[in-house]
Amino acid sequence: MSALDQPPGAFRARARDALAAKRMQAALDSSTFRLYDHRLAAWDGLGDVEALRETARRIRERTIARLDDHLEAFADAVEARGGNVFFARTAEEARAYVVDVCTRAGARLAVKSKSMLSEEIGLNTALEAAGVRAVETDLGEYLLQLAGRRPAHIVAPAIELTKEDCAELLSRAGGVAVEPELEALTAAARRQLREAFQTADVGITGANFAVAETGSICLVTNEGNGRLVSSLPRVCISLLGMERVVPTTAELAVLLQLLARSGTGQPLTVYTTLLTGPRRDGEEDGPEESHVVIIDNDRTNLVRGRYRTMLSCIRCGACLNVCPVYRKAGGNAYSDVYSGPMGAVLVPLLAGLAQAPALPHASSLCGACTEACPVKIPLHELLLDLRRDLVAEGVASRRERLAFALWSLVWSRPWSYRLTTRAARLGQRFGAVAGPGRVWARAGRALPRLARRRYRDRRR
Amino acid sequence: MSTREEFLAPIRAAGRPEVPEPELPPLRTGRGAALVERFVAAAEASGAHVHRGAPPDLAGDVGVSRALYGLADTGSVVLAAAPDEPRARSLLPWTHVALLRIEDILPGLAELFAELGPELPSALAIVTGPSRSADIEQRLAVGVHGPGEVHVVLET
Repeated sequence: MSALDQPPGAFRARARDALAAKRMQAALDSSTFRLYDHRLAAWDGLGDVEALRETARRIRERTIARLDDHLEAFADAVEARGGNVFFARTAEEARAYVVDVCTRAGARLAVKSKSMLSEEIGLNTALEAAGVRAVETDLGEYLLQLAGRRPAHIVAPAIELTKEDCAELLSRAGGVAVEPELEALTAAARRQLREAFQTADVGITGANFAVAETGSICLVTNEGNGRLVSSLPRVCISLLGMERVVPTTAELAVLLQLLARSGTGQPLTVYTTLLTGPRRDGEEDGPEESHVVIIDNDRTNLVRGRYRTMLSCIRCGACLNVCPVYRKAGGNAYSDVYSGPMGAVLVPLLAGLAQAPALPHASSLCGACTEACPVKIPLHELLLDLRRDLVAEGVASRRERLAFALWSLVWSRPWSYRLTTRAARLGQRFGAVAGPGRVWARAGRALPRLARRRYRDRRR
Repeated sequence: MSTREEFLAPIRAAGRPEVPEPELPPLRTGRGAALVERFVAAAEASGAHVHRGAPPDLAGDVGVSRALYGLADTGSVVLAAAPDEPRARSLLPWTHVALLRIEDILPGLAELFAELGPELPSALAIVTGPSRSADIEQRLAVGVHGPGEVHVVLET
């Protein structure tokens, strides 16, 4: 079972838990609205936003159209600068390579900066099994790791923890009581993680982008942990999703402007770092050994056909913050890794529809995600396409298929259509007895009443 | 077949749809006083302290490094790893001081990458203000990992 798989009924059950948790609802409301407001404010002063989005869309789609060439150029450029490149087709190959590098380095401790791909391939479990302790250093992810929980938002992972939760976790980890005050909590985390940075043998990073021409890995962070992870340990390993490459730094400049604005509403994140190979002659810090693991893990499922555009995703998180379903259901309802509209599209494509049949339905199809996407991925249309696939591939339940077959039979004939609309006035008093009407009415809401006369009758 | 070839084969087999070439925004050439003022305003908005001419009188845990460039759009300083510019200097101390010549201020990212060309240093850091996090209850905290206090000294 992969980290992306979702047991049947999981979305519904987890979303229901989230809806019942008042604190979580408050946290989701305040954080998603805050990120949303900041995003809107950040576009002011940028000039023609629509033109920039169109440019970004073309950059991504053109790069994906020639992904093989760009990946080859990138790998050659890394190797020319003394770095190592490994092409991993599966999560298993990627894990094995990373574990092997750690074992050869004699590593006992690895520090990590945030990487969704690391969650996707289940890296931490593999490292622990090989006797390497893996410490997450993004503040939110560190807290979640202490709590034994999974990230709930791709940009703000610990969106659901309160400062009292954090104080308890940090006190236990450090062995000294920490006040539940922001400054004390931050200082305690800084102290605890500095120790890890200074003793770790290996640093593991994700990659927001890779630049083919220069052989660079680009990391964006606000905390600076990406810089520490890639500067202090002797060995640095970067995990790169194969679609995250750009041809040159000129395209990177455009995408970086959009990434931070879309994610957190900043013009640029605090630290934008480009890592190009290991440390050079005469430099006193930086890794002596650097590795890039380029990972497919079923992304090739998307290279053909209409879902190809999903490979353009730059993981900014904007679609999560605007999504009415995400705002209520929370990140953990979707999968252990990706959530929100981008997760609802990506997870079924990577893991297979049968592994995540509820996700294409986790949307009201309002299109807010599509409107927010900085690279113009038509997310809500892709969700609709996936629903079609659920039926075509026979994944949709028999009951659902039967219901829609009957409905289409009845409404595709004028006489039976007329009959049902006439019967609707009689039937509406039973609307709250079963089906969607019952769920609607259970929350204390009344179903809208039908007009006394049908529109078609009034025209006569 | 090598692993690389096996990896790339399905991507190659998928064909290459035609996508029109993106039109990148033109490079800006602006220099001079207006650019400096824009840099100062953006840097201060990001939480950095800007000093003109004289470096501030700071004591304690301080690291000083030279910035290769400054970016006016965002108030960022650009730091490149080199034998006399170790990465730790701008990363480990609580306070970081970046020395920046005003003639090295560029409009933004696109102009920076055009100046740098295709050969990049082993580590290039574009730094915009102090280390920050909003991971605890969405409230801003500084100095989570990197410096909690950033000073930029503008040199004429």
